[in-house]
Amino acid sequence: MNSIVFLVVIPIIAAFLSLFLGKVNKLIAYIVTIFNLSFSIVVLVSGKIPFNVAIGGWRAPYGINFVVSDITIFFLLLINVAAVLSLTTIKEHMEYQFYAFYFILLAATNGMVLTGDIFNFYLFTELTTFAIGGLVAYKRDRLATGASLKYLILSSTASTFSLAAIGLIYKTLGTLNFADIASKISNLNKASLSLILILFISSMLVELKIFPFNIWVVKAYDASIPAVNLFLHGMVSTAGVYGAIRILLMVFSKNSIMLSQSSNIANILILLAFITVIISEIGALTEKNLIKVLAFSSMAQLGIFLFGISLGNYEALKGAFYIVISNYFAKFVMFIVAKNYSVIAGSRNYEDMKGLGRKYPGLAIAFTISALSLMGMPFFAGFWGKLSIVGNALLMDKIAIIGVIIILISSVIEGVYYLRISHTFFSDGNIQDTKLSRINCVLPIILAAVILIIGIYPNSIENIIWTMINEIQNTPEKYIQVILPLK
Amino acid sequence: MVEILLVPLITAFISDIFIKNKRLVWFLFLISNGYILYKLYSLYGKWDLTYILNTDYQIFGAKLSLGLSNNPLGWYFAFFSAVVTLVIAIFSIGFNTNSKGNVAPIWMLIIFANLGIFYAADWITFFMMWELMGWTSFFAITNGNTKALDGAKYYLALSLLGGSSMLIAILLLGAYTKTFIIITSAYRLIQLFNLAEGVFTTILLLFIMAFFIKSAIFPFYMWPSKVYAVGPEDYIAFMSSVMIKYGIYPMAIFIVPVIGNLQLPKIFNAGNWMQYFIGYLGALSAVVGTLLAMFQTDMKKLFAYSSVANMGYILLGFASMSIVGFEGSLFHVVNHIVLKAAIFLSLAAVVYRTGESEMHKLGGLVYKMPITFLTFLFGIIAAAGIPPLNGFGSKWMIIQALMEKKMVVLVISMVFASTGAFMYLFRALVSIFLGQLPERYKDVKEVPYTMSIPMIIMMGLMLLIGVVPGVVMKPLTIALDALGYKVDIATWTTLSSSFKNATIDLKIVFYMFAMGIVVAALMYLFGNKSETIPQHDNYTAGENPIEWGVDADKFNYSYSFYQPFKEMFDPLFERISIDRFFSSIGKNFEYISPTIQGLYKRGEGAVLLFSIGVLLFILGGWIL
Amino acid sequence: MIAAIRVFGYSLFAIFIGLLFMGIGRKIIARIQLRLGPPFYQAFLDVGKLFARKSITHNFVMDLGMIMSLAGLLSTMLFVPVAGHMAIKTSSNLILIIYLMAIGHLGMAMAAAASGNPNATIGVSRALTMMLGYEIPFFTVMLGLIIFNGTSSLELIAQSQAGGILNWNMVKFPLGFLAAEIALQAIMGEKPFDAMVAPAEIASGPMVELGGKYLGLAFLTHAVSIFVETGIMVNLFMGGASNVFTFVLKQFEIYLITILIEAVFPRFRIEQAVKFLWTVPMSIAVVQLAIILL
Repeated sequence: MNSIVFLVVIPIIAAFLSLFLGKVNKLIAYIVTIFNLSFSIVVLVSGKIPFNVAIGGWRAPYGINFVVSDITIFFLLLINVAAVLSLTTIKEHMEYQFYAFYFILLAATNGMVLTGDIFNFYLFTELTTFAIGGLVAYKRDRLATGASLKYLILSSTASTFSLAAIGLIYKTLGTLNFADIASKISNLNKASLSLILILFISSMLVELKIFPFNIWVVKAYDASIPAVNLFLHGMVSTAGVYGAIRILLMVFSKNSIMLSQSSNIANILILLAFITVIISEIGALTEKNLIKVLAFSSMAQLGIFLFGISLGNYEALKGAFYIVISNYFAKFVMFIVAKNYSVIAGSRNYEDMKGLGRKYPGLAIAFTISALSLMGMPFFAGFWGKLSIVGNALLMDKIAIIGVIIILISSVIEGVYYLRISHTFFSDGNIQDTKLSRINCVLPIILAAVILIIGIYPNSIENIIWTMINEIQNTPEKYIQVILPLK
Repeated sequence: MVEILLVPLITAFISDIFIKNKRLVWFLFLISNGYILYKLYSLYGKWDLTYILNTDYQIFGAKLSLGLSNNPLGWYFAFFSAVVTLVIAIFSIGFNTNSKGNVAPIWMLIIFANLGIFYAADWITFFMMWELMGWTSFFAITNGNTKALDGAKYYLALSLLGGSSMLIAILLLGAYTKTFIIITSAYRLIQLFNLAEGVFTTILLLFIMAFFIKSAIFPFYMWPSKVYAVGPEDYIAFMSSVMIKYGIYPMAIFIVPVIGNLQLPKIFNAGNWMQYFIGYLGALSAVVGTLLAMFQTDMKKLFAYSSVANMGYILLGFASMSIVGFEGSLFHVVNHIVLKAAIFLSLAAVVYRTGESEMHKLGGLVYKMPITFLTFLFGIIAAAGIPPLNGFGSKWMIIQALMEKKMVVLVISMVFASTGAFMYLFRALVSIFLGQLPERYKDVKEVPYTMSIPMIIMMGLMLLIGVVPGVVMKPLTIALDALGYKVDIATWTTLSSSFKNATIDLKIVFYMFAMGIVVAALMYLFGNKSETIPQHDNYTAGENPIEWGVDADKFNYSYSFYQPFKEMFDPLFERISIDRFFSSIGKNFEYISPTIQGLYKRGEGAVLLFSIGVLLFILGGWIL
Repeated sequence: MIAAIRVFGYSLFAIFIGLLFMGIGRKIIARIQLRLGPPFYQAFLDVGKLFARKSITHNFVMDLGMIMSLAGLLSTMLFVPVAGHMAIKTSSNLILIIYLMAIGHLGMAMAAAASGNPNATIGVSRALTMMLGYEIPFFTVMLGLIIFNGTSSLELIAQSQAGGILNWNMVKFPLGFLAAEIALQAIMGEKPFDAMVAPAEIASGPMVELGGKYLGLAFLTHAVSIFVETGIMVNLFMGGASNVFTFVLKQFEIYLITILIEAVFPRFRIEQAVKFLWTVPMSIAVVQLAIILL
């Protein structure tokens, strides 16, 4: 399965080619993305998981290696599906810069998920950052440039930290390989571990949109075109989530124990998580710009995710996975609906979208379903996540209980603003006579149906999630020994 | 058994597709409700029916299974709410012929949740249905009406808050008792009392908060008035009668048995602190609801507060923790379902014809809408708890139970509330139906048959339950017996309490009243003939005002009806306003919101904030 | 059939006694105020005259309301044991009596409001406010007695006082009796608690549009209500009676107290009345209740 490198290589080649191809770019983009997706599916069904690919024949821990494990393939699929779905929203002609950045983004996010080397991971993160910077600025107006610049500055600062952390790791452990670090991490003294963790996490929290590292989010979402919103949401965030799981839970946790027992970093993360949640929900409360509301809400969802993984409990971790999946689908639906409705209404203010739900009920219903899923309402995917996280956090220490209360209060706020928006869609309004092709309604409805199916029938996804958690539980057997079979 | 839930779900889905075709949708709504009622009727007595759905979902180390069971008490609630829902469904056909929105699909979804709540065997199912009911009712209330948003938002926020508190309670309960089955968890919770009293109290209070929010008990009594005033009237009839009982059902099935089985020290030989806690909140709801109802000008708000007061009565019955009080409360649940539905149907009829719900702008409608008037009259007599209509029996039982338990403050507040009820009920009657008919309603007609027939059915129901309480009490006592309570199966017409010689026969009361009517009517006929003359003839002593150059003005005394009385309470209500407290919480969040948005808008602070964050992080990592 | 005749007989008896009391009451008041006053049978003459006159009505609700009002009070009367006798043997439950009495008030109020005159509606509003005022202290007193006797049956409470004046609740619970007496003044709508009628202010309030047989029916209603209210007091505090004659005599004693107060007092404003009822008689009643409970 050495050909797994194609997932990274082909997009990069395409990125070079895109400079010369002009109008064919769109086609190429589809071909490359669908190749990535189908290749991931092939890997999934090949039955060889987990396996390890040493690049250039240099065996780990000395060379760079790509690892495909259960978690990897899951996130690989999420990212590539997101890429395909996002591409479908591009209707108009895009210039070559857009596609060039897109290909790099695709390569980088795939690479982030695949790589088994921390420095490689860092590189791919940087690549993602630049790609997103370019994509956000693609609109070429003042807002877009500002947003892009803001994002770049924040990310580069974060990268510095990250680089420092990597340096420290190399200095102390003498290795950069994930598996090798994971197996040697118990030799590290507590102070160094804390320092490394702090530095590394601070950089990762930028991608995870955790307060106070998420200042870029709202502006970036607002300034960019809908497709970039979806890239940001579906590819970058998902890759960030993967990074958090892989690095926090599998690499930097001593003896594959969960984060909370490794140090009190967990408490800080819980604190940050619930501050993020409450701040973003309150921020969204009076926001009128639909895209900004969604941006705020996606920060909140990632806050809940972080809360879930910081609790150090496998069931809470399962809840976090549910949250990720629910958010992944729900935000897709919402961004697409927001895009379609804002095109019709001619504005991103949801109050101008009155009555659109009566004309295009499919979109509005899909939006409502997604909103309810994000609120953690039963019969929707998010509920199972909320149930697990809240249930297990209640049995922990005080800070977790406070976190639960705050998260529940913010879910109330979330309910208020989301259902207000849904209500606006369904209320009476003067609808302009614009034509919206019904084909645009199909995708959101299908995704909403997925949310509904997971919500009603959690068995559909429960076992997949347990497979991943199983990998985290048994890091030495399932991950380290795949890469370092000799030990 | 599961088809009872599938039918409303499928109906909701079908009517969602044909939403534009009103006639079809409402017809389907009626058929579906008829089927549910029939099915519920056939489920009577089959108490061991269960339906379990096993999932692979794992929580607290065990696989979660969702279950439904034909719980006798749940059946009791579900059946009587289905009866009333069916009547409202008939009414809706006529009412919705030219309404703007179409609330049927979402309403059907609520009925699904309704049955689910009453039939849930475990807390997770219960919670799922509960939350479903919460957000669906938000959409049913707003129904595309922008004006309804504020009230509905308030309701939604409270409802979600209640849901959250219930979620915490359920999960704590599940974690500590290792079960989610409602009945089992109640037993284990009682055992938990001795082991971990703190957890026990937390669970109980969180549950109680959720239930109280849904049933509009004291600190959360504001939402009905906000919601009922704006929602679609026929749906509000359902909401005010059936939906407000959702908090009562779990109280009856879970909280009351748990508290009743605790060995807590008694205060003043009357009850333990938990009883008093519930009782005083009930008493406060009853009193505050009554007082606020008196001072409303909008009829729907008035009856919203009346619902609050009635929920207070039910809670008072629970607080007595005696079987008479318990039966009385559960009997009052059905009575309130019936009478509130009747009242709101007649209000809906008034709104349907006049489009007005401010009472002082109405008046004299009795001449135009006699059937509506009669329904309303029956409704308020029942609501005032006057025999021979249905509100009396249950109130009587609750008062008897409280007196027997010597809970004097509670019983006095109950009497205060039910006497005060005469005031606001009568006020509504006077202002809407009596007095002089304003010119603009000269051409108002009685509602069509599709709407008057359900109202007549409601009148019949009120009289039937009033005279033959056994139609409710028999199933109730049988249900309670099946649950293991020591009760005597009720007879058809008598009610009894455990006082000496305290059995009343409502049949005799009815006969006596009928004889009183006969005697009075004889007296009336005995007198000389009377002549019906228009109002102004009496005023002007036969003169024609127009000849004197004056217009015939119409006077109704109906605005601020209890002004002198209100002035007594003004200082109190000005100083203490729970409503203001709750809205200020929401307001405060909305004030902070722009600040946070500003944080994300500007660029300067970003880097600063970022570095501060990192610093804090590093410091925190070392210090902690 | 026999039951129907008994009911009829009881009704006529109550009306008769009530009208008689009203007549005597007027006479006594007149004497206190140094007038000659009408003869004691004046009330009968009034009623006869009113029923003989042609009368006017505005709508059917007025008729319905008047009938309902008389019917309500008559049926209440049937539940009050008269010297241990009742028209139909049933439990004379106090709570039932209190609630049944409300039908009469509601009917009267309905008729008054249906007459369309704002004065009548103002009167109704005041009457209902007053009702909230007196119901609370009166019920508190009753509550004490009910808890003391362990029954809510009026008949049993009356029986428990048998055997001499010292067993009467009036003697055992003087504070309760005092509170009930003050509340009774309001229940009967006599001065100083007659804000709902207030002839000088709102032209007799509810009665303003009534004439002919409607006023006659109102008279009868008032007569029955006097009978019922004094009857309840006699049963509660004066041990009922062994025969009808003593019963009526005791009723008259109660009525006499009311009349004497009525004759000399001015009128409270409605909110003053409610405040008074909620402070003075209520605190007396609460003290009594506390004594009973502790």
